[in-house]
Amino acid sequence: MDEKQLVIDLQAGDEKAFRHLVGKYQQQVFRTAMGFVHDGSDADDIAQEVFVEVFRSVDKFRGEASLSTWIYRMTVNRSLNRLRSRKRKGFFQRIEAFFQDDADWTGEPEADCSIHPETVVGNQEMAQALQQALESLPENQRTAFVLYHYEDMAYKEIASVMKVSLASVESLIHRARKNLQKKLMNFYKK
Amino acid sequence: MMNEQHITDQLWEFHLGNLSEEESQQVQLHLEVCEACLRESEVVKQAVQEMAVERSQEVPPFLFTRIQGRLESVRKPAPLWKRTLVTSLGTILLLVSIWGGVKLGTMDVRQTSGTSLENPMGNLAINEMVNEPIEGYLFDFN
Repeated sequence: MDEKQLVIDLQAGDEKAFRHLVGKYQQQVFRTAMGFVHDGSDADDIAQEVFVEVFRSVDKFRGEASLSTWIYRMTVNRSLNRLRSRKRKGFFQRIEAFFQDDADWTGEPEADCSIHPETVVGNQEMAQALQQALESLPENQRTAFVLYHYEDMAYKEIASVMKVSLASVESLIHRARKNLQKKLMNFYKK
Repeated sequence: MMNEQHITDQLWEFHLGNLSEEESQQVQLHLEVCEACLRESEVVKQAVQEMAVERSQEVPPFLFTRIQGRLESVRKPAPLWKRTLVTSLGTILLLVSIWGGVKLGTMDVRQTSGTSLENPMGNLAINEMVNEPIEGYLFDFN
């Protein structure tokens, strides 16, 4: 089924077409969301939200960008929103813990989560370090990095999803890598 | 010569396997002699491996069923005639209820007044306070 026909069928409310769309794009949506949230259940939740939004707003799709670009944009936005709400939750949890003076609170990892050089870095720790380093990146750098490294997207496609120039994508990915390297090296040095 | 300058910019592409054979060999040669780049290379390698693990995760099964479940609550609105009919019926039901309530209220008043005629002690509890104000009890020292 070609994309144009798929859009027409979706706009007509065809359930078969919608099922086809979910099957076609579910792995991409899930993988992109994973790149942002690093949690299977959150990524699954985001995937559901994205497809519900596609179903609800397919009437507004004008075909200015490709269907996959449109879906990627939604996924990125939903994932960034999820991270923002996580941050807000973390902030309120910290305030709550401060006022409760609760010793057993475990909402945020302790500041000293460094690994000594002689210790072999386990997968779990590396995963955590990478997540923290990624989360500390500015949103545009993170988006470009995730689309490139998790989705194998070409710079041109990333530029289209992010609505920026090709040169900007190159620069964003370069800066994201530099920042990540710096942060991960600091993590190991501690 | 690559050995004289660090190659940190190429490390990501090297570990992703995106460099040409010649470029890869040059990077490898440099890593054999440059400890600083080797250390960064290890970090990048681990990050790339970690991302590969995350990328390989499959979508949990029955995603479409879960989406369908969510869509049940956000289905497209019913046709206009259906919505108008439901609204009209609702309004009529509401008006009938109000009218019924008013009717019942009037009947109740009549019944209550009838009862008070039959039983003159009916309103005593309310009037008690007028005849014997509470201050009377409070300041009655005798």
